[in-house]
Amino acid sequence: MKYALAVYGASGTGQSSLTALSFARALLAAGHEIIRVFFYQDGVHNASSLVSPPQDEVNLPEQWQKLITEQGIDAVVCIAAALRRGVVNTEEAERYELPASNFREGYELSGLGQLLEATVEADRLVTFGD
Amino acid sequence: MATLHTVNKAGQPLELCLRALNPGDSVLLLEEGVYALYEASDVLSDLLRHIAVYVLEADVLARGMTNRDDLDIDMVDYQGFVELTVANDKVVSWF
Repeated sequence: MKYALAVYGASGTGQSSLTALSFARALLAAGHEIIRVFFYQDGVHNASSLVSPPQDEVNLPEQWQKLITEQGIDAVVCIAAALRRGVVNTEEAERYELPASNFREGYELSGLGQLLEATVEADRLVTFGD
Repeated sequence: MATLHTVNKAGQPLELCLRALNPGDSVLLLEEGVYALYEASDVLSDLLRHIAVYVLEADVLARGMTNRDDLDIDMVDYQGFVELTVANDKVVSWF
């Protein structure tokens, strides 16, 4: 089956990012297809390259990126939610004249329409709320 | 159209979910929602008369809890979570 996942929770708050990641792994193990992971609201922090949890804790953005790049998953980060939280790629950093960027490779900044499109195309949408 | 409802907190998300249930739907308690096993056991035992209720094993174990023997609630792993999303036509998340 084709799945779309929506992740609303940050890596450093709550549990939903970890739940979503565990679910995504189980989906792939069962032979399903993930057509898109959409990071929305606080979930955009999962695309930050600056997240540095203590060494004995799982680095969720790193784990997400690993899954996304290894499996070639389409990962979209809501651009409006990301900009207001300071998660920006080099292009947006230039546009807004910001001193730095912190966007991980393998993700794309785009609009909410991408969530709608994935919802229409997928057999199932599973949302992981904060 | 059977719907799987995921509930990640025992308070308001569970209450709102209860209002939206239709016969044939299923409920999966996960994250903080697994506390409903003890905090809202009356509600659950009532619910179990016409709705299938599941709990996510990893979240039960992470909180040092066990499933209730007196309630007919199935404990599922992530694979079971995936199977529930296949068995239902859609998934609604309450959080």
